[in-house]
Amino acid sequence: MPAPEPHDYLWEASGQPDPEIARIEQLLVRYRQAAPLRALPPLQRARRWELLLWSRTFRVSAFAAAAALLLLFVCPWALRRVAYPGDACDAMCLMGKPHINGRTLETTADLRAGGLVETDGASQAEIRIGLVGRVTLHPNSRMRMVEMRRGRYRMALERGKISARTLAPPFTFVVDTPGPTAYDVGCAFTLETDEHGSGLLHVTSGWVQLELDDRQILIPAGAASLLRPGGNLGTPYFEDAPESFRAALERLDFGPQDPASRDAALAELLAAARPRDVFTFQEMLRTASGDGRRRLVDRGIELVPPPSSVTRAGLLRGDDAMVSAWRNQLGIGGPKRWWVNWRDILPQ
Amino acid sequence: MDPATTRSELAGLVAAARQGDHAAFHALYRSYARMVHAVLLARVPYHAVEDLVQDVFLQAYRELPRLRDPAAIGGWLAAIARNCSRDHFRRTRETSELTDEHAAPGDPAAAAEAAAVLAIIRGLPEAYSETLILRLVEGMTGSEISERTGLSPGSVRVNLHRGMKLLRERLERRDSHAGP
Repeated sequence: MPAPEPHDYLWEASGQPDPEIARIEQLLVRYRQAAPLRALPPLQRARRWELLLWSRTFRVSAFAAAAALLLLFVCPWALRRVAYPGDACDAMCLMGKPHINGRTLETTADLRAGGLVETDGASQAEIRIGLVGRVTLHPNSRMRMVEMRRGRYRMALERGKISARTLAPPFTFVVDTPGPTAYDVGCAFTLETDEHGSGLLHVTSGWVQLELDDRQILIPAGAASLLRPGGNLGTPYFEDAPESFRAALERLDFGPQDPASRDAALAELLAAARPRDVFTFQEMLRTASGDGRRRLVDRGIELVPPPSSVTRAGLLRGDDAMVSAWRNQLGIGGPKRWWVNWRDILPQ
Repeated sequence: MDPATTRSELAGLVAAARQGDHAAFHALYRSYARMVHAVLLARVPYHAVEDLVQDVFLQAYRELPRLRDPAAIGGWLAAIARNCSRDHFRRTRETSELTDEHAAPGDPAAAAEAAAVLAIIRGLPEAYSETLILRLVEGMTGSEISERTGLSPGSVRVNLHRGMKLLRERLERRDSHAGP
């Protein structure tokens, strides 16, 4: 059994006193507190507000509200400031000795509206537009920054090839070529052209809209469109389409336009098409007429049966709702989901 | 004395006092006035202590809504008391121990001796002086001191014994200097 604690008068203040401690206590007792509390003032009404003000709930709510305000207003503002450059973006040398405004681009330089970036056969440059876009200028290319302000970055590819990766709302990035203009709809794409407007647009993610005069075509990921001098836009096609399909399409778009040649090319195209290539048929239906239109619709229905609400007659007369319902059967999706392509901005 | 011993009783008293219940606040005063008195007595002249105790409790009464944890009221009141003592010195020049001597009631010789002992206790390190005053002036037990101040019983015991040892040494030194 443990021994009992020895008596400690200093701790217990009772029992057998320590003489010296008792003497000091006796001396000091005169200082002991004895007075009662004086009258207290009445409770003021404002104290109820104080109660609320100092309550845990109030402080937690106030903190949450402040954090929400910060998230709602300050963070988007800060992000926008960082993401979208103002009147200049960065041009960087990736390889060789590209030029900016006639001078060699050694490492990085500011590129402003009106600025010109050129690469020779051994050089490559990159243009970084805040956090929302990167454009690689491949060898033997020439690109001018036409417009630069928050929410709109317009470049002109005079010749050569660019690869662009963007993460921005649709139509933020615009690339003019000697032929059509390409509008980014939240995507990654490569665009090449020569001085006369002959080239290729190839979309790797999201969608791009090509526009020339009153003609607009939307090109989804995996598809491409040929560009030809004189403002001719090629019908978009999936790049994994059979070679014979692509060759026939090129002949229809840019080859001899006499009825016999067109008829032969169309027959070859219809024969080579897969279900996925009905996308190209649907694009062709925007301009096709007569017998060609009927053949496109019939072969398309054969490859991709439309939903029950869609009729052959409706497709033949170009009913927008029916064409749209039929297009949905392809499972390509719409161009408005640009934000799902955020990975495109990451270095690849 | 009417000590608020349990945590729930204390929480009830604090909650009632926040709503303006004077009886509840008087109960808190009865429980903690000696502790506040001791904290002040360790710092300011005796004649000013009683008024400052009232000031401390008046301030506590006004600011009670700010006290988040009712169990922490002892430490909170002690902190207010320490702030009050600092304010007191900012407002007035520190008075000499002679003032205390005159202020202490009773037999003049005993009062002088009491003032001298109190001065020696005040000269000890703060942790010892406050604890010794709580014990030797206010007559609180070690357990009561622990409960009111929020210090652990072990800390209170150490402060009491080390403080008392220092006090004895200084009293002996004084007596030996005073001579026979």
